[in-house]
Amino acid sequence: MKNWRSVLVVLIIGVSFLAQGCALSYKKGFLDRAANKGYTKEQALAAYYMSFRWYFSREVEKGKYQVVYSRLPMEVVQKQMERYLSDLSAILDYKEEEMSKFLDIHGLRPYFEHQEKVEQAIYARVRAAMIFAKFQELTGTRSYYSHGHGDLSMWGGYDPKIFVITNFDEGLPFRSDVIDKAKASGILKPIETVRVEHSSIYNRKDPDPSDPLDHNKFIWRSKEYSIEAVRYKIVDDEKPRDNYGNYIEAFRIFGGKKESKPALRAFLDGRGSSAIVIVDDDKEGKDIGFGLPDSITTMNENAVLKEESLAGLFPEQENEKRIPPQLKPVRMEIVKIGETVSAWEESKDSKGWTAPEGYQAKPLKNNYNIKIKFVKPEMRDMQSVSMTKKMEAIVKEWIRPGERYAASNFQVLEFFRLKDPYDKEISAAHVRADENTQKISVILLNGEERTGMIVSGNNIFIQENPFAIEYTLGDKRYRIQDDNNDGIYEKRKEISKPVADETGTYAH
Amino acid sequence: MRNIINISVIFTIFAIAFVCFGLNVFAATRLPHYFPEGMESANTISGQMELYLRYLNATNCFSTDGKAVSRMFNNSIRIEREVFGEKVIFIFDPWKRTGKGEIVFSDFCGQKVISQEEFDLVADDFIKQFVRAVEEINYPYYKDLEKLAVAESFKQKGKGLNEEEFRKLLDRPIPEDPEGKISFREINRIPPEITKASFVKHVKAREIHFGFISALGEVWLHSGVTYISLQGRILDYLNGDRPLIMAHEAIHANALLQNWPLSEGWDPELGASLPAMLLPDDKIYLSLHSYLKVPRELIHVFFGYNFEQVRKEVVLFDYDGNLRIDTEKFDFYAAKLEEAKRELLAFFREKAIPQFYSDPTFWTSLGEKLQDKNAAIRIMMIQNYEPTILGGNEETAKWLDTRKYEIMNIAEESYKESGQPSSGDKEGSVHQKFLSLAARLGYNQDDLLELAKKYRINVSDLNNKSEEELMRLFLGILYKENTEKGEVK
Repeated sequence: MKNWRSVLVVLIIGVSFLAQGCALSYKKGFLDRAANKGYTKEQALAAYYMSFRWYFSREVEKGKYQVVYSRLPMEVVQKQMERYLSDLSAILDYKEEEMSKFLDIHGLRPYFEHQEKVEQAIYARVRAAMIFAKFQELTGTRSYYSHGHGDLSMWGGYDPKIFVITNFDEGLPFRSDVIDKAKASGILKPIETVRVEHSSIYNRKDPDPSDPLDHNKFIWRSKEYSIEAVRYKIVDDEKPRDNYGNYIEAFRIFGGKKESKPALRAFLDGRGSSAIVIVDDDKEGKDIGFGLPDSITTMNENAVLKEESLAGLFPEQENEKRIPPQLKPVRMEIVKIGETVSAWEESKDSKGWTAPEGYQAKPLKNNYNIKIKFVKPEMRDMQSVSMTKKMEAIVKEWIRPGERYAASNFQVLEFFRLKDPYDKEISAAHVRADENTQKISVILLNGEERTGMIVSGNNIFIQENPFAIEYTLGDKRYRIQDDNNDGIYEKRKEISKPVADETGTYAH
Repeated sequence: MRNIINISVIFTIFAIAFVCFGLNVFAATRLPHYFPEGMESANTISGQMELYLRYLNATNCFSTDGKAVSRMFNNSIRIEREVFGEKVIFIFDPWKRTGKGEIVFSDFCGQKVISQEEFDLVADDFIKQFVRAVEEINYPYYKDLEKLAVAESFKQKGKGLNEEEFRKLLDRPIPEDPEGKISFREINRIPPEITKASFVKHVKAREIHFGFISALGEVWLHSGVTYISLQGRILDYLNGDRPLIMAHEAIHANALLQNWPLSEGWDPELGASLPAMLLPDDKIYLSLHSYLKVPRELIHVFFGYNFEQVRKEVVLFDYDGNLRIDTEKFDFYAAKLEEAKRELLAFFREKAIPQFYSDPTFWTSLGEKLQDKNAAIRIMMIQNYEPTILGGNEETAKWLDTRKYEIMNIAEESYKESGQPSSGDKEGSVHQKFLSLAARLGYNQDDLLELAKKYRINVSDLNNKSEEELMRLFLGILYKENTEKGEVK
């Protein structure tokens, strides 16, 4: 029990401690330096505390001090938030079984899911503020002397006001005066439109939520996206001298509808060389932080509209993978050797089980090879050479029309019982495949040889309807069976897939 | 002494090894059956310490140290009560009703049958303590926190609004949340009003266990599951029957005050020790408990009281666990601390705690940068008090003033490297570059420090700047300087 408790404590509050590793502390650094300068322990302590007034605070009025928020680099806040989000991801991960139990026992999963969104929102603002500072630097709209705080030490530092911004267009205006003016005066013209459509059913493998720890169990995830990007140019001449752009906007499209704000904005230099690209990963109406940029980068103008760049506007979010596992019922079954164990699943529908449609080519329905299944000799008979055989079933091996060696859709085999006298002991039987894969020859015990075609419909050799059908559906292969010859396949079981494809081949 | 240290080390996470001794007033004439017989109380630090050690040893049968196997509480007696409008389940782990209807009590020394009346006394006493911890100790101390924290936050973030408008803004949804469920208050991490109910409210009914743990109290964060040990209850009783341990755990369990991830960025044990550890009833906690290490340092630096010196003078000898103490000196010194406790109690309630909760993101991040979970408290202290550690305020101020620039330099260098991995030494490169650049232009180090002070520049702000960028920055400052002065240096 002690271990159990400590696991929880570690998972809740310990993850980050581990991640922090061994870092230098301000206090130790200060006191060591002070000692090296000859300060006594008490002098060093006095200096250490006073440093918080002189270095980290400012006197706002006589005797009143206020901390200098900007002394804290924004990167520190960003890293802390990244660690919190990583910890939250671990806390909410169903693979963390002990943590999952703790959350479920106390009904805490909704709380932490909400908390994750809160942290994402904080992180989005912190990152956006950093990107904005970088944007201003890259566009030359901010310098050490022109930024709004009137204090040189504020550069890149923590600004408490980012958490009360209500309008991002005003609070963090990612704009260019040149583009704004061109747009206002009607000379910013669209000169190129790129549309990317993508659909993939088997996009990525995820762990099977019913058993996420088994790496060999997985489910497929699909992915679809649609993007429209437009390159604009400031055209103040009827015939521009080049086709370099000044601005690019790309929108994600869902159900034919564009999002209300661009997912990508690129501010171009108008010379076809560099672009400052701002990307918002978050989807409107779905993700926290839509409208706030998630990254800023510079790249060549031509690279902006490439599909791989635009595909990046659809990142896969971590929480999309978080699916609760379905607990299997705890069961117990003891079967001694020789006792019957049924692997069959009874149909709950009065019409019974059905095979998938579409493997029989209409109207003739004769796209099959014939194979013969013999009754296996008893063990005792295997000690001596038997002179007789017995056919258990005639098998229709369905194929693609006209292609003897290509299995039909669903790899269907139909099993037919034989009519009298072919259901009795016989001397021999074989398919005359070199002539026709539907032609069989049977030698009765009296030596008489009977040859004929197994045609579709009524037939002298076999009964009209198959008593069993085997087929493949997805990853699984099934056998359905009609035991009482009423045309209804009342039971089904999963069987193994054929090891090798032997369609159309015959042993000699 | 050894026991105190051992226990306090065992649980540094949401657990308390809390030592308290009582005054002469006992709240009940009859004590629950698990209390040792012949209980006494004391109102001096030496008396409280002697009794503390005695009763901790006398109740060894309730201690899990080194001998206990796991326990199950499914069939323990439980009582549901509505407390402050919320459902609370009190579970009395060692007490169980048998198939014959008897109530049995078991500890690590045996099992005995007790009467219904005896159990009722146990239950009533325990539940009463829980209610009192909130009503008498925690709620009065934290009831104004929201108001004070919002006022402080408004000073930093409320530009263009009045305080009432700012308060309304806090409870509006943020625009970037598509579901409209996240408020500005949440992303600013400012707690809503602390009510009595907030100390018991949880997603599921609050579960308070009275039983056996390896500390005196424990809380599992966010769940509300709380354990109070029998030893904890007994030690609380020695302290004028003030439920200090319960108060400490109730703060841990209040998700508005202590939650993840807030617990990572500052010291939750010190937080939970306020106000209980500074109440006048207790005499030994401030002097001896590990959770109070930082307040002891604050008292030393700002109020001049040197705990280390007192300890050396008071603890005369340790004969294999049998302590010889100078009780007269111990009590004399401890009496001086009462004023410091009163001062700190008010300082934390009115200034430090509201300032921390006005912007926890900033304070926890700064704590991370400084690698110090108590950085916020240290900074707030120097903003409100003058240090007196060097023989008095005047002497300390004089000594510090003559070394101001040196101290600023040490601060800058230490701040630059803090939070960095301890291996390797990368410091100095940008600093040196800047200095040599300035020297080429005729500025010595003192001149630069004056300029840096004026323009609020620190070297760490200039990290990752090329020499060219530094030159542009420096020339810009020189231009500005000389334009203002009308002269060229």
